[in-house]
Amino acid sequence: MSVPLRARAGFAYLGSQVVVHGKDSASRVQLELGFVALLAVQCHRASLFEPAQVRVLEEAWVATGYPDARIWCNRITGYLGSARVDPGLSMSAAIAATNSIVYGFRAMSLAYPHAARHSRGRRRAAADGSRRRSPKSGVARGYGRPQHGHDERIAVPLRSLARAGLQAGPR
Amino acid sequence: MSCSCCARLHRELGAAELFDAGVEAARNACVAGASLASAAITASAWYDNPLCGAGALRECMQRLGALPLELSAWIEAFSPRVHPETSDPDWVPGFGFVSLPQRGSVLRAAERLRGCASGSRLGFFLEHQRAITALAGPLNGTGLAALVFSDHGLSLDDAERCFLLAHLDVALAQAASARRAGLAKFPFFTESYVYEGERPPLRQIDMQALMRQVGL
Repeated sequence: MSVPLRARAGFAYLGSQVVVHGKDSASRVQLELGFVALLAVQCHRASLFEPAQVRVLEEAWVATGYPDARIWCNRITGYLGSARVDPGLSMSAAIAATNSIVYGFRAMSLAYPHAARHSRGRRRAAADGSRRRSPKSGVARGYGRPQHGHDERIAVPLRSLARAGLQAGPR
Repeated sequence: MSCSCCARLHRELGAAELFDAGVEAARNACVAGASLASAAITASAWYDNPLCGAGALRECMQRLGALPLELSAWIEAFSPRVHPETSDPDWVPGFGFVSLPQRGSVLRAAERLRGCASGSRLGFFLEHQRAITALAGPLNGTGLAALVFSDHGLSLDDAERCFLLAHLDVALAQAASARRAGLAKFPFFTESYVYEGERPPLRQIDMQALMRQVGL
């Protein structure tokens, strides 16, 4: 048996076995996981998510991929792919570009607190009839769409939630 | 490599008429408000490309390093071949991948840089450029940099570093301009594509009912 590489998240006996959060990476159960469920296992704890919730996230992930090379981050991989840049570097560049404020990861990070406030406000409104508050900056990140007013992707997770019998909002 | 020559090459490679897809990719990276670090990653990745980026620079310098100042040897060294990694046909490191107006710009830059180094490869190329480019295609900015770096006796690693830094400086400046100008000034969706697949029927969705169903 080789020397194990140990970490809090798991361990690896190089050449024989890899275990992440108690699960053997080569087990049938692990191999049947979808992408989101695998991330849940590897990054957090699978027990944080119900299978139905994982399925909703999985469907949202699948439904939000656009094949259009004219979108800003896809466009970058288009330029890089045309110049035969290695796929790893191309993906790194595109992901770096999605760290943007108008839309992308920074917009998403800024949308989280607002989404939580919005949700609490909605519950309060339901309880006492008070009005929701707008974000202090006047800009609600994660809302609006620069090229088009309507976003056809919103319906997908809503349908997934409905099908799974789940409610929208923080859990 | 002397600072003045480095600065001159840097200036020539950064001229607006030589802007390439690396500059455009960096602009893309920042147009939605990402930091310049995003543009640096993007531009670095583009200028690492094997066709006319750092990979081509290294290959061009390696070929130049072994060449005597004889036209027949240069013609042989810079004959088009299949790229060993990408399988692109008719590839010559340091040549091609330039628009018609850029061809003249690169040659004029080469003339201005002639004599800035002790080596004689750039001068030899300019003396025989018609014969060499008739076979290899037009000299590009990477080929120009390779000639100048070779004449200065730079190592491949130093040359690659100088090449990337010169291009990054320009790409980041352009990315910052694109970020200041914002999305509205960016030419998204100007290209037209022809979709070749089928269009499945559109699903009608009652959003209001759906939102009520999930508690919104």
